[in-house]
Amino acid sequence: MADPKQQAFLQAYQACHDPFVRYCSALAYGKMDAEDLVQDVLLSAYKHFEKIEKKDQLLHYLIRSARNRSISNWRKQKYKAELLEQHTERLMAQDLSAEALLDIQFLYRTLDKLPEKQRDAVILFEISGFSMKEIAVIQDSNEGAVRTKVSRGRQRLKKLIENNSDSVGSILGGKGKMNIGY
Amino acid sequence: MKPDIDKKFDSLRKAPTEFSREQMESIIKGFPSTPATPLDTTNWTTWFSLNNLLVVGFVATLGVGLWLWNKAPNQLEALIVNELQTPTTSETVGDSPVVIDTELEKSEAIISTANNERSPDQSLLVEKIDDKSNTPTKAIDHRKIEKQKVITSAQNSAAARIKAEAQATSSPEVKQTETVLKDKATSENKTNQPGTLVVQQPVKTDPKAVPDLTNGEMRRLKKSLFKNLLDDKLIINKWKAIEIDLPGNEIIVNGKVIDQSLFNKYSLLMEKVGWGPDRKIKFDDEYIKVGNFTATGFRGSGFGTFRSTPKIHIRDEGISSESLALKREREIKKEQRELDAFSQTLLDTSNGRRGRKSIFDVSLKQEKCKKLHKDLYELLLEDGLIETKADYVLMEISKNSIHINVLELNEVLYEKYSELFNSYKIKPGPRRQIRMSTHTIRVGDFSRGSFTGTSHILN
Repeated sequence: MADPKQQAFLQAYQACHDPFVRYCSALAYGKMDAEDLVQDVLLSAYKHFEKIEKKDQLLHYLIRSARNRSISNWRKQKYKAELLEQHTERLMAQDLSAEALLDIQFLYRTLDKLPEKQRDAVILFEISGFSMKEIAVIQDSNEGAVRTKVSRGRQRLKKLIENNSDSVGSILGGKGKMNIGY
Repeated sequence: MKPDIDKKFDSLRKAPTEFSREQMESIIKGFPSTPATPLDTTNWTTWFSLNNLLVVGFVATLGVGLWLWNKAPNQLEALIVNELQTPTTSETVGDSPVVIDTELEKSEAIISTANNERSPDQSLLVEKIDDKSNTPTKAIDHRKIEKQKVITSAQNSAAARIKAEAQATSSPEVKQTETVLKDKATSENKTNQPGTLVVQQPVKTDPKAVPDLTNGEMRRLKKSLFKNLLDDKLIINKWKAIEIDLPGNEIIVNGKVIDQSLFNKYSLLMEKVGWGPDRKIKFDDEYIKVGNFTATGFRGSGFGTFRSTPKIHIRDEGISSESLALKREREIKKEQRELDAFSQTLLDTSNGRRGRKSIFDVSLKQEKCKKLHKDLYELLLEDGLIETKADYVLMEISKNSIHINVLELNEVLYEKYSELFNSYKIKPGPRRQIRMSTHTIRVGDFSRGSFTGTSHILN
């Protein structure tokens, strides 16, 4: 028979799963093991579950906890090849197409180039699917500020994606010319 | 073609999560279940946390420290205050009101009673009472007490004994050695009241025994003597030296026997000094000497800075040495005034040499001053610049010239006197002068109304 605390925690977690795991995946991409991050955060939340007064706000707690744990890894670590491979394998195991996988990985890499606050706001809004109001609560900010961060983050991301596409295209073109030339 | 960012995000959102819901559930189910024995908040062992220990330890240390800080001084303070809280009175002796610091006398009486019995340790406490009694209205200085704070139970008991003895001064046993010094009429009509000052009669001390007074006792004696002598108009001010003779049957202040009505009061004040043919008290504002003054010298106690008075050739004219000294002092001052007036007159009539005072003062030792005085007078007489040694001399020593009584010296004499001044390390300066008379010499910088330098009075 399951522990009542576990039952309650599982029940509260059901609504948090998708946004939480996507958020963790985005945070951990290439730099830390997403599984470790998810497990650490969940264990911490489970330990302090009695102290969380509003159980429906477990997601906010998980997001904050994940951000705090990963924050030191965001800028310091370089991409680790084994972590990237691990990520690919996990997504492939979920029957994801190779094209979608490339898009996701490209997006994660580009997101990593955004300033920290913009990046966080964009991930929460675009990937985890939080509303502006919810992001403001999570970030201890106001809705207008979050809106600005998301907007600027998107613009910057767009530019980065355009630039990356151009550079990738030119490099590929150059190579092609070179190949043709030889 | 521009990449559509929304499409990318859509594909990301549509993609499955990295970890499935089942995986997460299995992770959560793997978490340890709720602890079977939750921490009991009533468990007393939980109190021993580092925070609690630190806080309790700090508070306890502070409390104990404060208690120790306050406890010992308070005990002493209570004792002292007890001693001082007995009523104070001013007593009338004869017809003249006696202005006596009764607290002082009382404390001295306590000390004198305890003197025979007190041990070195106990004397510390007595000294404290002594010191306090001198300023009973002052706030008690805790720091001062703290410095001498080693109080043993033995000392406390000694203090209690001293106190008891002090309170019992009117008992018959004590009265055998002490008598109440009061006016006869007063003693006949009045009985002893609480707080009435009981003092010792002048003790028939051994004249050869030297009085041994502590610094504090001498300081207080000087203070009370000054106060009473001024009040009784036996002295005019504090600045002259005072000599009190205590042959035994009378008290002589500066050669004058004091009135019988004041005898009791002063014998009371000087009871610790004792009596004898050579017993004297000499004091001024800077020092006090108490003891036997004989032809061989002084034996006794002293406190302060003693000034050696110049030797005076006392002619046997029935005049005391003190009077001669005063006379001589007046003469010297007069001589200096006349010399200054002479110098000022000369300077006013001449073309005054102006300039600033030199930075370096002239500093000559006494012997050098005397020698300079002698040398200069001899040279001046030799050169015919003065007629006698009684003439006043004003020498102005500037950089390029020397004037003697406003007459400028020629080159030869200038060299001669410059050499002399150099040998005494007297540098020239715009205001540098030497003013000499028979008994005085002053070397330094003079300006109107002020002088900086070395002054010496010759015998």
